[in-house]
Amino acid sequence: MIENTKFQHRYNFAFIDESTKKEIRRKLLKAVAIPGYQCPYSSPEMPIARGWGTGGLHVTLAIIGREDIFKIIDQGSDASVNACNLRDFVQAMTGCRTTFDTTEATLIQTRHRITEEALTAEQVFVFQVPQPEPLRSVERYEYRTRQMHGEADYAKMWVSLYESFVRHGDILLGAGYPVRINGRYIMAPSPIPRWDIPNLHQAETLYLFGAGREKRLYAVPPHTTVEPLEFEDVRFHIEDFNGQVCNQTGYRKAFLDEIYSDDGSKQFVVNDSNFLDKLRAGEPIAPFVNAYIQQIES
Amino acid sequence: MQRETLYDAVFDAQADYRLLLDAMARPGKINKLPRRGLTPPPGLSEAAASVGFALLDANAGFFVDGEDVAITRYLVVNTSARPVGIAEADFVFAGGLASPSLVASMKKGTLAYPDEGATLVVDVEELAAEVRGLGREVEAAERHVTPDSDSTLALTLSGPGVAGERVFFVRGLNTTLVQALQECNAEFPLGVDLVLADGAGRIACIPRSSKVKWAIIN
Repeated sequence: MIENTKFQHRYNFAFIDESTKKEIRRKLLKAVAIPGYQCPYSSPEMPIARGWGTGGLHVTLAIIGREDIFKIIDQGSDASVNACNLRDFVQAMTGCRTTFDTTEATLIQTRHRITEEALTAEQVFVFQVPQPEPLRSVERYEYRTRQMHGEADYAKMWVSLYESFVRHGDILLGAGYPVRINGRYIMAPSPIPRWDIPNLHQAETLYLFGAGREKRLYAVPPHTTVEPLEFEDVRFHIEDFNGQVCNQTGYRKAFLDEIYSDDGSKQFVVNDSNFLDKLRAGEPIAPFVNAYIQQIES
Repeated sequence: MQRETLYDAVFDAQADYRLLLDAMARPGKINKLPRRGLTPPPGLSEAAASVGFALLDANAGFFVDGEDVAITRYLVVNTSARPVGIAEADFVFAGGLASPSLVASMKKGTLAYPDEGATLVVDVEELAAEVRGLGREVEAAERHVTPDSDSTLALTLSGPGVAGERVFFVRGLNTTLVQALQECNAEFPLGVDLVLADGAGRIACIPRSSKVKWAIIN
């Protein structure tokens, strides 16, 4: 008897069908070839709603192989709900090994943070992006922002930064500070804190961005110039924790979470959970080094 | 025409794609695609066929230089991609000695949608990251020597994906094709992305974001 094995597996490897994977792969190549440009793609249906990390998931599932070691974080934490569920899903669909260890992973997906530990050329880093259009706050129509990007007409963006400074004395953009890629496209780095922005510049790793709800893919290749938007006299700066240290480890050269107690007082703790674990265990760490972090006294 | 039965459309395509993505993200870096036991018709290397297999499907249009019937049939049978005219093609397959007019007829995309620019897959004789003792000769090489098919080109890339500059060496690539590509990609973000493939399975990429300098070595 000839056995029909075709329908024994309910899903293709990595869930997405091969034709859609190829479409995403073609678009990713174009995204890499045009750094910072938002490439439209199909954004196929996933078992989670668009806007809950589908873009990152599309990128991950289109490039993941059986040999990959997968790590996923949500705002720095391996244990957050979004990260746990997406990790379970990717693991179930691919059979890949998963890890919490940043240095061990070959493919890392993230929501709104870059790891504290430096990433290497052997790793690929995938961002989940809610709003890929940095100009959306100054121009509501897609066909207009697309034209502005095409013509590198970013005057409105600069004016909005200027107005923010004039009104409030600072550029009030915390997460997702706009950056200029390779001197051409202005790009939304996804809502990562300012702390992480310098780590995009001249990095070793390939950064891929997937915005599932908005149906856009974009990329920052390694060794690419990434400049936060700033004025000659109003410079970009990273978060200032006013000399606060992590209450668990005493470490101060990492992005810190504020923890509020019942009495209203607050304490700080290192945000990146794997980094915190390593610090507490006294394991060797290799954090990102950049000019902004170096200015912090240890 | 032969249907490739040894090729695994899921896992081989994924592994080859990751190497291709790595090569595109690091222009001039030479990656070696594993041998898949493919038997493409003459004029198409195994590496170029692998690139086609990893990216082409029924939603992609392709064009083979010279409208080579055997290669076109081979790619249609194995990928279901649509053969189209060069002006509509998303992927163009050519040899390293192809006419530079090829590049001028390819899609470059529009300012609103530069991603519609085509990908050119070119078969060359050999790709190498290093040529022993060539360092000094590269410096000395005259930039506008008349090329012939046997000459080795030193391509120096800079831009996104490259720390400083990266040099790699190509044998069997027409300098006029490189010039045509430089002209085509002068107006970033419009342009064409190049994938070079050789007979030993090596690939290297030159995306439109790269600045290219070239010198003939011998």
